[in-house]
Amino acid sequence: MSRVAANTAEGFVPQSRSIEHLDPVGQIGLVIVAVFLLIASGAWLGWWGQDWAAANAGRWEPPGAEFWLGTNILGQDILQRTLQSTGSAFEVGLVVTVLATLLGALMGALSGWYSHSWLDESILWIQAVIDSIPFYLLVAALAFAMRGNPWAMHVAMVATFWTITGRLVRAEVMRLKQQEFVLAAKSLGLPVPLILVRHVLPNTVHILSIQAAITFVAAVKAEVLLSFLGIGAQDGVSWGLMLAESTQEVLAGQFGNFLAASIPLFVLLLGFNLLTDGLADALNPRRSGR
Amino acid sequence: MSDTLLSVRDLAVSYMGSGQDAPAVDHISFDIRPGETLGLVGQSGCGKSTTALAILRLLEGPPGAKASGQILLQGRDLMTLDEATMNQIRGREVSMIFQDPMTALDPVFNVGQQLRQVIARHRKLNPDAADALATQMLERMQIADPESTLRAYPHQLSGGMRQRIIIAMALVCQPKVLLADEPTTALDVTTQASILQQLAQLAGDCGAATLLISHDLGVIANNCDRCLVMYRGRIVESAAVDDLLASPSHHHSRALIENSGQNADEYR
Repeated sequence: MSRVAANTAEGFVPQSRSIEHLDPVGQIGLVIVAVFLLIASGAWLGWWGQDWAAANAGRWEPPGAEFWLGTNILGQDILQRTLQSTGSAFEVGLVVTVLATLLGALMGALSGWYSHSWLDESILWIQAVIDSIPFYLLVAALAFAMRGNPWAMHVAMVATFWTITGRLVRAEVMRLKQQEFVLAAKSLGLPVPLILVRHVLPNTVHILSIQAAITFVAAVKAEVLLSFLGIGAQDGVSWGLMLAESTQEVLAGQFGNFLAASIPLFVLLLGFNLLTDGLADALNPRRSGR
Repeated sequence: MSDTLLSVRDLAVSYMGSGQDAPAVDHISFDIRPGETLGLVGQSGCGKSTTALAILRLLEGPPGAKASGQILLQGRDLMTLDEATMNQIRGREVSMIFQDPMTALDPVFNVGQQLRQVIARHRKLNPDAADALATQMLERMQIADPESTLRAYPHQLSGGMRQRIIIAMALVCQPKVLLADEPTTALDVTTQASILQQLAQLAGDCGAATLLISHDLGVIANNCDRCLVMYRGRIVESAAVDDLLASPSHHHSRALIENSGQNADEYR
C-alpha cells in the first residue's frame, strides 16, 4: 500500500501531533505535575493530612522525626497542612481549568463560526468588558461579594479566565472554517452543530490543552493570593493562609509555614510552566521537527 | 422533462462587496441527464466552482453571495428548501468532490471514522454493515489494502489515495448527482488518468450523473459526452464534445482548444 508522508510545496498541511513528542524539559514538568497530582489525590482520598488541625504539640517545634517540617504557632503539624493544601490548590486548579476551558471553547467556537454577526459582536463585547477590569481586582470583588460561599473563588475565576481561551479559539475557528474539510463536511449533509463539535473543535485541541495548562497556573496563583487576602479558602487549608500566618512568624524567626507553603507552590508552578512549554512544542501542528 | 435529472434554470450568483457589478454566474441554464457525464470547462474565475457550490446551496450568505434562479432536482426546486431538508439532500442525493485532497479530509480523524460518519448520517445501517460498506467502497476505488487504509490518518496517505477516499465518501450513499470540482487538478498526470477512470466507473456503478468541472479541456474531452463552455459567468457554448472539438463556435472555445497546446485530434 502506498503511504507517502505529506509534504506539499504549497503551505501548511495539518499534521496530527501528540503528547508523545514531549521534549525532555516538558517531561520533567510532567513528572513534577504527576507527583503533585499524587499528593493531591492522597489528600482527597484521606491517605494523609487529615489530622492537620489537631494541636497536639508545642508551638513552633523544630523539624524532627515526629513533625518532619515542625509545627506552627498552635502546635499543628505543618507537613500535614501543606499536603492538605496541595489538595485545595489542585481542586481549585482543576475545576476552574475544566470549566473555563469548556466555556472558552464554546464561546470561541460560536463567535469564530458566526464571526462578525450580532452573536460574535456580543461575545466580543462581554470579553472586552471583563478584560478591561484589572484581573485581581475583579476576582477579589466577586469573591468578596460571594464571601462565605465556598464556590466564590471558582465562580470568580471561571468568569474571568475563559476570555483568553475564547479569543484564541475564535481566531482558530475563523481559520478552520475556511478549510476545505469543513466545506466537504457541509457538502455531505452534516449539520452545523455536528461540524462544530466533530470537526472544528477537535482541531483546536492544541490550543485548548496549552491554554488549559496556563489557566491551571493562573488559578493556583489566584487561589493562594485570594486565600492570603482572606477571601479565598474558608476551611483553613491553603498555602495562602499558611503564608498569611507566616507574616507574623517570619519576624519571630520562624520560617516553617513560609517555606512549607512557598517552596511547593514554586515547584508546582515551575513544573506546570515547563509542561506548558513542552506541550506548546509537541502539539503545535506547524512545527515540522520532532 | 422525464429525461432530465437536474435542471438549472436562470441561475445567477453575485458576490456582495466585491466591487464588481458583473455577477459571478450570469443567468445560466443547463440540464444533466441520468447517468451522463457532463463537462463544464472554462478558465479560472469564470464561475465554474460558484455554479457547483450554488447547486448545493453552499455559498456563504447573504450577505456574501446572493443566488437566484431555480435548481430542479427531479422537479423539486432546491432553492426553496430549508437548511434541514438541504442537509438530507447533500451527500445523499447530490454530492460534491473538491479540488484539494490535501485539505478536504479532517486531519484529526482516521479515514474509517470519517467514512462511517457519512454512512451514519444518511443510511440506517448497523455498525458491522457500515464497516463492510466502507471497506467495499475502498475496494471499488482499487485501494489495495482497505482495512489498514481505514485505520490511517489523512497525513499518512498520498494525494491520490486521499482523493480516492474523498470520491468514495461522496459516492457511499449512492447520490443521483455528483459535482466533481476539478477533482484531479492537484494531482500529477498519471494519477489523474487512473482516478478519473475509477471515478467514472464508480459513478456508473452507483448510477450517478456527474458534472465534471475542469479548466483542462483534455480532461473533459476524455471523460465527457457533452460539454458546456463557461466564460465570464455565462455558458457560451453547449455541445457534444466531438462537435466542440471539431467546430467550436464561440471564440473562447477556440481559444481553449488552441491554448491547450494540443491538436484537437490528440484528445481522442
